[in-house]
Amino acid sequence: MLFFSFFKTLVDQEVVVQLKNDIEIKGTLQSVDQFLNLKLDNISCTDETKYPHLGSVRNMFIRGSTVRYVYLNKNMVDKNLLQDATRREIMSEKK
Amino acid sequence: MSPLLKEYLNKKVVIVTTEGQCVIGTLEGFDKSTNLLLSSVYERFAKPEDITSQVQILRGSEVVLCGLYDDKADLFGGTGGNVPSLKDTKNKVKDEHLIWFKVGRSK
Amino acid sequence: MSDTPLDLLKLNLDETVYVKLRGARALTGTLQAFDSHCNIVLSDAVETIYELDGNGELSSKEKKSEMIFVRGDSVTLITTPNADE
Repeated sequence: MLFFSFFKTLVDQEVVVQLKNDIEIKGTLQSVDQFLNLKLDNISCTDETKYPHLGSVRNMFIRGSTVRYVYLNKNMVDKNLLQDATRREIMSEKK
Repeated sequence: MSPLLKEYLNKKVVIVTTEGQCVIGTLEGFDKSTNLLLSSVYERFAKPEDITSQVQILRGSEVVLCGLYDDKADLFGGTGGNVPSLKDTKNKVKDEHLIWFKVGRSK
Repeated sequence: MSDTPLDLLKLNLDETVYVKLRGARALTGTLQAFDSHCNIVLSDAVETIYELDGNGELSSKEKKSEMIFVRGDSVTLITTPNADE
């Protein structure tokens, strides 16, 4: 649940998602669910000339399982909060 | 559980699959594992009347993404598909073990 | 209770870690978060993508990012950077 909560704090921020098929998509994170499926708005594909497939798509659903990376900005994340939440998560999973 | 696809219902969507295929169809239904029920499916760069299947279920594990399709903004629709194909998501690297062996040795 | 591998990884929070990934990729960065699926967040990360050129020689590309989320199913190994060198 840690990363579900984490992504919820990133809603309305601009992120770049790199998929396992090497496509990179930039967009505003609109929503996320428990599987870490993502919904992005205002999309621009970082290399649209190479992949015109998504040229006419402005809003999309990405299946969480096909994500490789999500690139974030430093100022979106409270590092101390995140580290503490990780410690708590690992503790709670042991029970 | 996943209500994320709800606002795409009965709309035209672009689907990319894990095999690297790209199709357009109307989203008729979905479930929590992203299994999709599509109608009037055609290839991404084919003409809309060249329908490959009237109704189709796409297994969730095959779905990479599902985007809302805007035909008015589409500069490439119906051009026949003279574009590079997408990769699959397996992204198998040839001789990966050999690469790691060389990485280990170069350190 | 005995320590699980993830308990030990907790000790590496806010420290530099080396993460090996599927597809001849590796990341080095400061560990900010992880969970039991090995989903990870790294800050000040450097991604290295390895390739073999036509002659079988190793080449690599680097890409820097200030904050990166890595989905756990790509992760094959997490360690401290020195252990791998």
